[in-house]
Amino acid sequence: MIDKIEWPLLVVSGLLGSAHCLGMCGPFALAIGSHAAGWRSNLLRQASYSAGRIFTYAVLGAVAGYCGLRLANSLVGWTNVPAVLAILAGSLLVVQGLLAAGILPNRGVAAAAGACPAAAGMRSLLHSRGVGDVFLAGLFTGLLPCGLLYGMVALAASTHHVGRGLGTMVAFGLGTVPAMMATGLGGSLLGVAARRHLHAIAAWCLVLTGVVSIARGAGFLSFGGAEPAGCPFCAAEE
Amino acid sequence: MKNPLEAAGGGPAGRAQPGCDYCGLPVAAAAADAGPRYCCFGCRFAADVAGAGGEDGQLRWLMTRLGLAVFFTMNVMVFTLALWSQQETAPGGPVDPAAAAFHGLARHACLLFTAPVLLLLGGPLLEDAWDELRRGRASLNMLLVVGVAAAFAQSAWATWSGTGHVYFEVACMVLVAVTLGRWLEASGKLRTTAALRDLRKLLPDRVRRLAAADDRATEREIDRTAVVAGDLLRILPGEHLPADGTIIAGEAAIDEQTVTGESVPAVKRAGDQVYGGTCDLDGELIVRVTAAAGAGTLERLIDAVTRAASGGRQQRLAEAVANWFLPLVLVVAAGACVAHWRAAGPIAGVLAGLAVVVVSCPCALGLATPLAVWAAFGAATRRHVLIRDGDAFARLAAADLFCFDKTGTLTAGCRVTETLAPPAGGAPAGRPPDAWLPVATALAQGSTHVFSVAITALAKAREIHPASITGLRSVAGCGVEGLLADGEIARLGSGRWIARHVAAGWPADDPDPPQCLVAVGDRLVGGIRFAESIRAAAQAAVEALESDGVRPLMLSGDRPDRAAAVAGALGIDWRAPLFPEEKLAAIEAGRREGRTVVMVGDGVNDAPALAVADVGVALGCGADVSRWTADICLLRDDLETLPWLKGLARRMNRTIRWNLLWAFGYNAACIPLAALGLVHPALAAAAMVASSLLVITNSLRLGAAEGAT
Repeated sequence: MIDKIEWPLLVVSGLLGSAHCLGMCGPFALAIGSHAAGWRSNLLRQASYSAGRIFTYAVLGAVAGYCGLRLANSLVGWTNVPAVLAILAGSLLVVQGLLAAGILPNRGVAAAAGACPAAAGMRSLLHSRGVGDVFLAGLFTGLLPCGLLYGMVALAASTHHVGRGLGTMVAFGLGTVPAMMATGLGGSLLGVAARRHLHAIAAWCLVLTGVVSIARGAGFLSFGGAEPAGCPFCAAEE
Repeated sequence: MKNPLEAAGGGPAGRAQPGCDYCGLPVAAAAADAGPRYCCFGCRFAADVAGAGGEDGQLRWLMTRLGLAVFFTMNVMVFTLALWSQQETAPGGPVDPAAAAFHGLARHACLLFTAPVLLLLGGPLLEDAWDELRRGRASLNMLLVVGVAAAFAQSAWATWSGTGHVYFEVACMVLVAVTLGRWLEASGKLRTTAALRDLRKLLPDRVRRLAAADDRATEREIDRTAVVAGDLLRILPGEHLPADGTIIAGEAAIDEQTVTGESVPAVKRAGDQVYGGTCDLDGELIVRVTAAAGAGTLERLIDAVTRAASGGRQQRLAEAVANWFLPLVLVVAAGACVAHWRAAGPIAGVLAGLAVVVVSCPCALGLATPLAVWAAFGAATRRHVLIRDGDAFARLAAADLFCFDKTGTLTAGCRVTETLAPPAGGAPAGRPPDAWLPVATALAQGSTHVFSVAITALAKAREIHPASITGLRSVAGCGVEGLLADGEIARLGSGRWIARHVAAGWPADDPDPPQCLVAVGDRLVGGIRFAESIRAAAQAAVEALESDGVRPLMLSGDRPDRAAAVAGALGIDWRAPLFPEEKLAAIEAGRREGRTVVMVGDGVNDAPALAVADVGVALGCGADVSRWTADICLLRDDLETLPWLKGLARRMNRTIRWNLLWAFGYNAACIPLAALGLVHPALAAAAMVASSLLVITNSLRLGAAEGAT
């Protein structure tokens, strides 16, 4: 299994990273809440939405884990694939963290990028009264492009194991739940100033996760004909 | 359900050849049977979604069905991945009992989750395939159905018997990807045709018909489509007019922006012509309909654009694709199936054939062009530009010589430059030199001539109050006259006309006599010089075009000095005076030099020049569609649209080229790989969706970027 430090770090990454996501997915949570009859029904809808998201994350994690496994098996003896993937994922997370911290310039996205042919369908699901539809909205939300998510998926790939990849993404997904639930339930529970603070902490937390991952990968990296020096994730068990 | 773009207007291509009921693309089949026909699943979806009534509900049901299928497929994928990774770590089969138990469990879970996907998405596909089979032709849908059924049957048997491989993920992924790809196409088509659909929506569904104009009791609410010429309709303030007609009672300010581009509302009274789709702002009207539903001005405008977008080079390309590509895929798929069947057994054959069918992206290939065209035309429509000829619009991208007409194109109306006292000293002593201006202002109110309009504007600017005048009368071709309070006749008009009424006219030796004279009784009291006013946007438009490498050239029929004044102010070359046939010769000369010539002019007076140029752009087409000879019409007379339009044409061409390159390249690379059995059908399905998505979003970006500006 992933090292014991890793799990809390993943959850915390999600937890704090979600301050970053609120800008994008927060409006979805609000839209879902706006059709609830009362707070109980809203809670159910928010939970169902988050469940949908986590489900998609889990599948992405499993797919990434399998891809990592195939890659590792096909490149045995050439390089230590999990280590390379861990470094890759770590770098992605560091970049994402530095972007969020404002250290790397964020150039933003052109208006033209808003042309998604699925937008209308997504909207109709978000505003549906059925809880099942809200779950599906969450399912599709999980597929929205997000740098943080890709970093996590790369991390899942570096586990080169279907179950562990799935677990990585579920841990991350669970971390995103509190902020999303709070937004959906309380409208805007957090003020802008508080969100800024949280955002700054989140950014550095991402950088930390990334650095841990890079360090982990670098420690086990080997090239050329030499036998793999071991797996950065299994080392604790072995 | 029909495409709302076509529902009332006869549709593109006028049903002359078999075409998709939604997008108008050709459908290669016998057209003998009744009922709507679509070129692809995507169009069927789009028609469903666009269908009148319950639009939101329809869409949600589709999304729910697709979403559930995606959910079940994701479950299947996870269990499949678990099975695959088991095989990866222990190729000989599960070793310990726990692994063996999980192995069986995962296979049964896959079976359990695959069944609902088949039920949710298999139905429409089966229906389509059956429909085409009934018409006596094999189709890709048929192959998909056979492939999915074979994969599922084999897997179910393997699970039941506990031996052999399972391919549940193939059945699920193929169904989801095919449905998703077609749904994306449908929503792409919906998005790109939205601008025109919005125009059509301006016509209300229900109208109030009166049997007699003065009897409200006879009022009945009927469907707009049942309206015929001669009907009497009652329109309330705030409503859109349902049809073209003549006002027979009432008075209202009408916002005609959608039809004429005029942004200032016009007051219309009994006897005035009004257009369907315009908005009655403030008064109740009784209107006698002059054009039946479907034959009105707005509908003909929309039809013209629809025809332009679905005709021309794009249409021919799509036809070629439909005629060659589909049979080719069928042959390759059949070949791959047979080859792999003989080499590695029936399952390998089916999987290879299925991979070929799934990976081929006929709709992306067929859509590469039309979708970009629709997106560009939609963006143009939103900026009040109507395109009648798609090929001409494509040529606009490379245009390097813009010929402008002067009067009414580069200039709009005129303004007073000078007010003069007669040099002979006609003004009574002791009065200021333009004491006659109130008289001229009063006379100007009696006419709508451009000079009168300019005088009124001047009076307003200088706060001149009109003199009291009675019996205003305009003398055709000469001027206006009226009776002053002291009984003298005042006249405002051309020099020749005034000269007949005064003792001493304007000196004949003046090289530049004023265009307009004012007389009181037999005394000449003043003269007015005018200059044409250059359109506000003309300068900016010309500069933008020049910086784009275009040579602007003014072709005018006016006197050289006036042409030089306008061209000089704009800093462009000019030719004048030119007779209409000389304008044609100038355009032909430009074309012979190898330039792509655009003629920008008045839709009526410059019609021959517009027709001869590579691209004819008309201003002031107004509502009279029947007189259009131009390829492109600027409803709003806004010259600044020109550089933007040229840029849009260039972006459209670039998008089309890129889309085609991608679609051809993708198919050329992936079909052989799939035929060689190197692509797993589930992966092929994902690749197909990604390819469709790429082409669709690329085209949509064209519309979105333009719509935002």
